Amino acid sequence: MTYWTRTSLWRLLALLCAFVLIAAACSSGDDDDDAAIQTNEPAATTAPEPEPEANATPATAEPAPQEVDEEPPVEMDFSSGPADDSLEPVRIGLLNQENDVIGSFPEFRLGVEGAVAYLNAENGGINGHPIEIVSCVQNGVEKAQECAQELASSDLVSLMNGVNIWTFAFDFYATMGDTPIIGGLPLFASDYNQPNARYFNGGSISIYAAMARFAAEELGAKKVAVLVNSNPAADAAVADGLAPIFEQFGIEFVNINVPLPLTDAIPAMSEVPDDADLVMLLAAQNEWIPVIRAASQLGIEPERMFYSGTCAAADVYAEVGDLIVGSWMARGGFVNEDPWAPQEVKDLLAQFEANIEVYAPEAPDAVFTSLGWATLNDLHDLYEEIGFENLANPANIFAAMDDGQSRGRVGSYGWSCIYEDAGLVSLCSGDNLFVEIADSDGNSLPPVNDGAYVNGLSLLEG
Amino acid sequence: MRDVVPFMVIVIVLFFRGHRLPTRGTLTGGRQAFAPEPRNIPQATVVLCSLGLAAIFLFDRALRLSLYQSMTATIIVLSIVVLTGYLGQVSLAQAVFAGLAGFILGKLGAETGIPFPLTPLLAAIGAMALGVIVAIPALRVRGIQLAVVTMALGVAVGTLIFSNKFFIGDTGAIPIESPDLFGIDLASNIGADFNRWEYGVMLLLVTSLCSLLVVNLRRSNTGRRILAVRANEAAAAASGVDVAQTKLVAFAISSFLAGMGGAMLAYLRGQLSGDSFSVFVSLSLVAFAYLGGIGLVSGALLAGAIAPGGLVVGLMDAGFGGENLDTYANLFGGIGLIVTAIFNTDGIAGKTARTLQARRARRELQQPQPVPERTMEAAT
Repeated sequence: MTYWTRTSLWRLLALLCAFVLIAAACSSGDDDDDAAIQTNEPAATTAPEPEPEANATPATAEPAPQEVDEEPPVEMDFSSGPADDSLEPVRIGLLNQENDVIGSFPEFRLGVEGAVAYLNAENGGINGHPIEIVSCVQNGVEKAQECAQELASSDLVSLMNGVNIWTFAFDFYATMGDTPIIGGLPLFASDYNQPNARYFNGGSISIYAAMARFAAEELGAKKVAVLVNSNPAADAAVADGLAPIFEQFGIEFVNINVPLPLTDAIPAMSEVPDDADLVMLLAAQNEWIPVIRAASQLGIEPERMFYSGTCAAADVYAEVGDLIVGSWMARGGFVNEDPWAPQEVKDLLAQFEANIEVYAPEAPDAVFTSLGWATLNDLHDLYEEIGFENLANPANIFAAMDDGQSRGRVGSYGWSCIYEDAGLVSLCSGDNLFVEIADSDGNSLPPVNDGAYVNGLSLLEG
Repeated sequence: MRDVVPFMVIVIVLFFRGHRLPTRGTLTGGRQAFAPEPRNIPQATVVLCSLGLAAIFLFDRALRLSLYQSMTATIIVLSIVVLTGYLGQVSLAQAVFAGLAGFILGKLGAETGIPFPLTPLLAAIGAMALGVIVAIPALRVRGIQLAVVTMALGVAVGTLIFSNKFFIGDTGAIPIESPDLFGIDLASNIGADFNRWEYGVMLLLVTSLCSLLVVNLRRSNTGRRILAVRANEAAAAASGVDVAQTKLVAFAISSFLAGMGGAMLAYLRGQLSGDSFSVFVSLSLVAFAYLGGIGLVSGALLAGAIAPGGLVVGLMDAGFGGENLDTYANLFGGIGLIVTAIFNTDGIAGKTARTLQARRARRELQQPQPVPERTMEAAT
C-alpha cells in the first residue's frame, strides 16, 4: 500500500467517523429541533381534528358564540370558540431546558404548546386575544443566559420558567428585569423569594415540608433517615422545607447522600440508623427500585419507608411487587387512575387528559407535560380575570396573585400566594396528598388523613 | 444505540490507528506540544484589539455575549497553555481555580470595601494559592497521575467550597458586585442593558494583558526553563534548572490566569454557582485547548472562540437563522479532537504556526548565501 493510499484511507476513515458521530447524535427520535427564540404564532387557533373518542369539551359549558348576520355586537363572548387572530396577541415567554445530558424536559414545552392550541381554539385565547408563546430552549449556562436576555427584550406579558437547572448559575431574576416570571417549576432557593416571580406550585420545598409534617403528625416519627442526592436544588429544599419542620416537632434526622443515578442502594441504606422510625427517600421513581430492594435485603420494613412519589408510575409497583405494600407516599394530588377519587374530580381529569391527547399528541404521558398544560391553563384563567388591557402592567398581575384567594383548576390542585411571611413570596402552593400503598398493582392507593391535603409551607410561617 | 455508536467508532478507529506494543529494539519517543516563540507581537496585538473593539461596538447583544464568553474562556485556556503546553503537565482543576476566584470575588465584593481593580487581583491570587498547593504533589507525580490528583482536587473543592453555604449563601448562588472604576460602571448588565460595551472593553483589556503575560513568559528565561523541564526533567536539572521551583512558578502563573478568567466570568454572569466550574468543565476546556493548539497563545484565542457558547457558535447561530447549535458544540469539539489527535497533534493554531515556520525556513534556504571572504582568499 502506497503512502498516498494509506493517508487517503485514514482520511476517509476519519470522515466516516465524523459522519457516524453526527448521525448518531442527531438520531434522537424524541428530541425536537432547538431554536434560540421560537415564536408559536397565534395561527394555532385552528383546532386540530379531534379524534372521535376524545372528549375535547371545554371545562366551562359556555354557549357557543352567536353567529353575526349584519351588525357585529359591541362585545364578543370569547369564553368559548376560537380566539380572534386580528386582535393583538398575548405574548408569553417560555424558558425551558432541553437536549442537555444533565436533564432534558421537552414535555413541559409540549404541554404548554398543546394548551395554547387548545385555549386559542376552544377558549377564545385571553379575552379573545390569541396567546402567542415565545420560547427559548437552553442546555447550559451560556445558552440560558443568552435566552434570558433575549426573552427579557421580547416585549412579553410574562415569562414561564419551565424546568431549568442552569438559571441559578447567573442572575436570572435580575436579567428578566421588568418582565414578571409567572409559572413554571421553582427548583432552587433563589426561586423561592423573588419580588418579580410567582409560581403556581411550591416545588420540592412544598413537598418536603408537607412530608415532614405528615411524618410528625400522622406517622409520629421521632427519628428519621433522609435519603437525598446532595445538589443545590435538593439541599435548599431540605434545608428550608424539611429541616425547620422536623426541628419544630423535635424530630431527630440524619441526611444520607445518595448518588444519582442510583444502581446499588445497599451502601446508602446501610447507613440508616437502626433506631430510625422512618426512612424518607426524596428522589424520583428511578431510585425507588434499588432502594426498595435494599430495604428488603436489610430488613427495613415497608411500613418504615416513605417516598416522595410525584413521579411514581405503575411499572415501579410491577417491578417490586409486594415489597412496597405498606409504605407511604406523597402523591401531590389525585391522578386519573385513582378509583377512589371524587367523581367530579375524575370527570375533570378525564377531560384534562383527553384535551392533552388531542392538542398535544406528541407529548409523553409525563408529570411535566401535565405541569406545562396546567400552568398555561392557570395563566389563562388568571389573565382573563385581570383583563387583557391590564396585563401590560406587571403590578396588576402581582396584585391579583397576592390577594389571598385560592384559584386553580383540578390539574394544578389550587394555588394561593400567601407565603410571604415565610420568606416564600414566589411560591403559591404547599398542599400535598398522601397515600398508603395498599397493593402492588398501583391502583389501590387510598389517601390517608381522610383525603385531606397536608400543607407544610403554612408551618414555615412560624 | 445512539450513545453506544460514537464510542464504538472511537474504539475501532483508535485500535487500528494505534501502534503495536513495542518489542526489544523498538525506538519510542513522545512528541511534545508545538510551542514556538511568538512573533509579530505588536502587530498581532494591535490587529486583534482593534477587531475586538470593533466587535464590541458593532455586534448585537447576543453576539456580544458570545464574544465575552469567548474572551473569558480564552483567559482560562491560557492557564492550560502555560501548564500543559509549556510545562507538559495535565491539570483537571483549572475550572476549579476559576470558580474559587469567582467565589472569592463575590465574598470580597459583598463583605469588604476593597475597590474594583484589587478585587479580581486578590481573587486570582487566592486561586494562585490553591494552585501552588496543587503543585506540591506535582513535584512528585506527573502525567495521568497528576490528572487524577487534580481531578480529585476538583471534586473535593466542589464539595467543600462550591456547595458550602458560607460561599454560596442560602440561594445556592453568590451575587457578584458590579465593578466600578473612576465612577464608570463596568457591569456587564444594568437593567435591560445587557452585555454592555464598558464591560467588554474592560474584558478585552484583561484578555490582552493575560495574553501578553503568557507571550512574554514564553520569551523569558522562565519560559525557557519551563520548556526545558517539559522536555526532560533530569536534563534540565543537570543544566542548572531548579525543577521544583520552575514547576511551582508555572502552576502559580497558570492558576492565577485561571482565577482571573473566573473573576471575569463572575462579572459577566452577575451571580455564580458551583455548577459552572465542575471537573467536566475543566475537561471540556482542555479538549478545546488541545483542538486550538495547546502550546500557543493563538491556540488559546482559537479555543476560546470555538468553546461552547463562544463566538463561533454565536456567529453560526446567527448565520443559521437562530438555530441553536450549542447542542452540537461539544459534539463538533469531540469530533475535532479525535481528528486532531490522529492527524494534527499540534492543533489548529499549532499546525498553522508550523506551516508558516517551515515556509520561512524554505525561503531563507532559497535566498543566495554570501560567500565568506576567507573562502575566496583560499581559492586564490
